[in-house]
Amino acid sequence: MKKIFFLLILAGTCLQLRSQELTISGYTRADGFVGVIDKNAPTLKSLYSETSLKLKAKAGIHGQAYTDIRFRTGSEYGSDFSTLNIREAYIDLYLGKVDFRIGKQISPWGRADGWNPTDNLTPSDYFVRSPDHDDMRLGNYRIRGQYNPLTWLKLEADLVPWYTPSVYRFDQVEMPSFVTINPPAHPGFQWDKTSVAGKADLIFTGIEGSVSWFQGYDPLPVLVPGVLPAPPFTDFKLELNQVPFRQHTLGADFATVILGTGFRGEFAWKMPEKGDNLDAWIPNSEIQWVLSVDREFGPVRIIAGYMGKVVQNFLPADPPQTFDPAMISNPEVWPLLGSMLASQIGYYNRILYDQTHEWNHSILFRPSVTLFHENLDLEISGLYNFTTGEYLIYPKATWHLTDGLLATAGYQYYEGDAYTRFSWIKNAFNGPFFEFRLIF
Amino acid sequence: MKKSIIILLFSVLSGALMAQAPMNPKDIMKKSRDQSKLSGLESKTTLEINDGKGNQRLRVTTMVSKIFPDGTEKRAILFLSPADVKGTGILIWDNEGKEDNMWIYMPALRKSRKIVSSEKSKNFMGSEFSNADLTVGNTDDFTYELIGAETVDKESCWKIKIKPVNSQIATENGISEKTTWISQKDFMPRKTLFLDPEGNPWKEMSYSGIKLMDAKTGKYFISEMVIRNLKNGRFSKMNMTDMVYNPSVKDDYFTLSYIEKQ
Repeated sequence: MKKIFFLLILAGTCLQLRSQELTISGYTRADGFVGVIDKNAPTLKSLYSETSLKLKAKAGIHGQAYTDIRFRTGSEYGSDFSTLNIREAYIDLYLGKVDFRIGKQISPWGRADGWNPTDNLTPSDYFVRSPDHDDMRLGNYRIRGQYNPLTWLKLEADLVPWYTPSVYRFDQVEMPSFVTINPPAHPGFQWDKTSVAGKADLIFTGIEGSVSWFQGYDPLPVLVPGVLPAPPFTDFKLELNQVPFRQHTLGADFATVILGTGFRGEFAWKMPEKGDNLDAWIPNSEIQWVLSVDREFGPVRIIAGYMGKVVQNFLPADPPQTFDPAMISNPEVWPLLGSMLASQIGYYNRILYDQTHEWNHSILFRPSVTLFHENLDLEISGLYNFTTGEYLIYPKATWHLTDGLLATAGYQYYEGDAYTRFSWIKNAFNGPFFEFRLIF
Repeated sequence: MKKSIIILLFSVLSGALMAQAPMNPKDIMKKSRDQSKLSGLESKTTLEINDGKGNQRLRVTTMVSKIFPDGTEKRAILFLSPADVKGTGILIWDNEGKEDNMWIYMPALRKSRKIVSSEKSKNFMGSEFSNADLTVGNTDDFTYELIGAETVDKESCWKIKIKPVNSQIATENGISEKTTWISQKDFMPRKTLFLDPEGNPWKEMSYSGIKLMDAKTGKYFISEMVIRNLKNGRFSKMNMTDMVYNPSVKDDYFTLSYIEKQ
């Protein structure tokens, strides 16, 4: 009797699932990243396996639920780990011309290639090891409403009640030994400090674009010194905190196709909120613009992009001199210590937000080709910053062994002078990688 | 009564004579093109890609299309399999006399991207079909010559030689010429032979499963196409099922929101 009852429940559940159109998809992959800091002694930076389970349940025309659960195990940056991460879990509600998406989600903004300065809603994990660029994006709890009053007009409003910071692994960055950087502090929940954003998308036959506004916490926290050490500095240590700050961004973007060439652009005017005790550390206002083009030449596709930026109220500063904790045994230095440390930390923040120069110009070039009846994808990404001299070379090849089974190999090479972002990350990233992935 | 019979006989005879008389080949092609343009359609497509060595790959999509009052034909294509492209959506606005609009939504990108319409000569999804083979095309881009009549699949056909009007169109389509066999009964194609840019036989496409979708307007649909590469033995087969002729298909299907929600 019990067995029959159980079967009845199971049958009922299956029927219910079928009526809701439950689909399960995802992938399992095995990845390896080798670090080549010293050519004669390559190290293993990351070796892991990951399974992603994506569940989608549809409730007819009224909505759907989506969840992406990721199980990851392996070793990375010298430590073993096994994690379970619910990357996204949200509900979509379709109410005629109005749609809502509520829950942890990733919904990036911006039409340009390479850089999206209008996207302030999506935090990033800048140190994730994956050949898939999307893995850098982190989900955050968000309430998104979209209203389509006309076929060519879409209005969007977003609320992010709970702050999720971007991840920057300072433990992987070469820092003075006396510096400790604490995990990001959380501002807590305050209704009047909820991050809000709005966007109007206009989609015409020949051209499309949007204007947008963001007001809230910047995804990347700023570095702020903790309690400064006091004389006589017998055991000199400096703690830095990652503290979120608020900013406003006015943005716009566009995309069009003219004579077989795609043109995309993006503009953002970011204005950090001043007036509290973070003023000395938060970045200056800045205006950023991006223009990218893409075109196909037979099997070859080329994407090229330019990014420019100007920092407002810019005050020049030289990179700080190397700070030697031994010199603080000299009491004459003590009165100068505060300003020396402030200068050093201030410059770190300038590096973090690309504000070491008043004007900044970068280019991106990405040719790619698909060969052998779409079985082999080859691409190489190159990025060069004319202002700082930093550059990236990133070739990648993906072989489609069969439908859904892919083998990828590539190499990341970042280079930059001291006191640049690429010099910070090159030891963590430079080297070859491979991935085998089965998508189901 | 006699008068009516005479009129009826006359119209039947004239219809039969019309079908057999050598028509202007461009008009034949135009009629063939026009009657395959459906005002609204929903269908599921299975694409088999065979490498000629026994290996096969499958692509399954659903498609909705509609011709709008201004002449724009809009299509929304959603990929159902294989798993690595599942969830991808393509929206095409085929504008009359203007550059087409095309967007792609890929789950990994998480946003729709306005893209350059794929080149006509490019292979469709790694198959032997080119994009040009699967679109109705503009009749003014080619010249037409009626070179005879032959029977294909027990069907009397006009044999028409088709050449691009200039080298640019030839390059865009990736061919030097093609010959097509059009049924004298229903004006739908039964076979097409493509010559490569050097003038050598390259691909042969055969059409079957031709269905009359709307008797009132005389609209037809080809539900099965097989294309063979005569040089390397590869062949691909496209099979349309679950076809619904629906001129009142919802306008909402042809929006970015629709392809993003799938």
